[in-house]
Amino acid sequence: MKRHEDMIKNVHSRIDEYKAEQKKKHKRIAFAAAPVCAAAVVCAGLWTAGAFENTPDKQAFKAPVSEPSAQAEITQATVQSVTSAKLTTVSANTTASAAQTAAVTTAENAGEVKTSATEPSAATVPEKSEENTDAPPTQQEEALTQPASAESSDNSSSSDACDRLGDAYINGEYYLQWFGGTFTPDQFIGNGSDFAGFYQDFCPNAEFYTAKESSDIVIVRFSSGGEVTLKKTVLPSSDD
Amino acid sequence: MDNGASSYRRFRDNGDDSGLDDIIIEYSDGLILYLSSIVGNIYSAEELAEDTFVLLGTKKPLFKGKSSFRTWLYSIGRNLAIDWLRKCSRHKTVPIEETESLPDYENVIEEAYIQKEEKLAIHRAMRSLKSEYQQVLWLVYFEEMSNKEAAEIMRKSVRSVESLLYRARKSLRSQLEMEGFDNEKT
Repeated sequence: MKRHEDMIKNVHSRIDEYKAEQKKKHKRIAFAAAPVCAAAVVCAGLWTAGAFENTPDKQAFKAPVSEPSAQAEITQATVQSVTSAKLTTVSANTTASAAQTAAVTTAENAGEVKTSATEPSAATVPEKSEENTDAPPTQQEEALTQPASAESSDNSSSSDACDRLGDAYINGEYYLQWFGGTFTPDQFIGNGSDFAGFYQDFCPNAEFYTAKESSDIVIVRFSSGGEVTLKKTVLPSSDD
Repeated sequence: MDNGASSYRRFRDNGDDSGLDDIIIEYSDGLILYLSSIVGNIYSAEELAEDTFVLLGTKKPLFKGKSSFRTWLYSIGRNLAIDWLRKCSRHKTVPIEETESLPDYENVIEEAYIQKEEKLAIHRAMRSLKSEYQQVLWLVYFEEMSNKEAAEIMRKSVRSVESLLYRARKSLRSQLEMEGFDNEKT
């Protein structure tokens, strides 16, 4: 039989055991929580320092760069003839003969460019272009001196923009302005604003048509009435 | 006189361990006998009474003073007893060597707590009654609690306690008559 004294003794000993257990428990919790708290502090410090910010590489849209060989030859032929402000594109339709020259016409109203080649051919353009630049200096001088019909008409703010060498991505294919041949517009496929490239920025209202003569040709018409021809071009790979 | 509230206040607020000791001395016997009416085992009742005091010492629940300290203490003890019964309902075991001395042990406590011989006989007769009858009779008749206090401890309505008390007395009278006890007060 437990006397009162025994019960008192038992109760107090059990209370002391309970308190000791609680102290151990608190210590265990503190030991377990310390590394977690430390990790949280470190993470907070890194976060405030911006270590976790995700800044994806911003790759601006890059217009296709026509670097190597064939494309460069074509553009070279035209670039030499194009001045910064007022010249329309010069067709570099050349043949092997040195005598052939590109005809350049500029409209007064807009920067429409009509290219016509005396002898349309897909021959060695670079040579011709070089020769073209050399051959008819007078014509070029005239083109230079003539007032720019650089009004693209589609973009009144940059009047000569549509006179420049244009390109566009159509259905995943790259089309570059081309100066060979005469083509007949067939079906309307969209406006300049619909296709990434030069015309989207400068001539959004220009109308794009397929050509009856070739599926690789796209005709761009401006509201002023002028038009240019784009030809499907295979971009060289970056490995070249 | 119920000094438990002041003793508990001394213990809880001031950290005076003697307050808890006073509580144990004053209430342990009555609590044991009451819990015995619930669990039907004096040894278990003693352990549960000790658990009740340990709970006061560790958790230090707040005594709000809405009832008497004794009522509040007996409620805590009863809750522990009910929980114990739930755990041990299927595994109720008593050591064989203790069973023979069970009535004697309880007699010792009875005699120490219940001074009057008449009441001793009644209490011994109560052992054969149902647990609920024992509880209500103990609280009302031996602890001299009001029906309201008994209802609070047993978590019943006052009306239920009154009804229970009526049936318990009737049953006790029958038991006493069987034993040849003559007491008009019961």
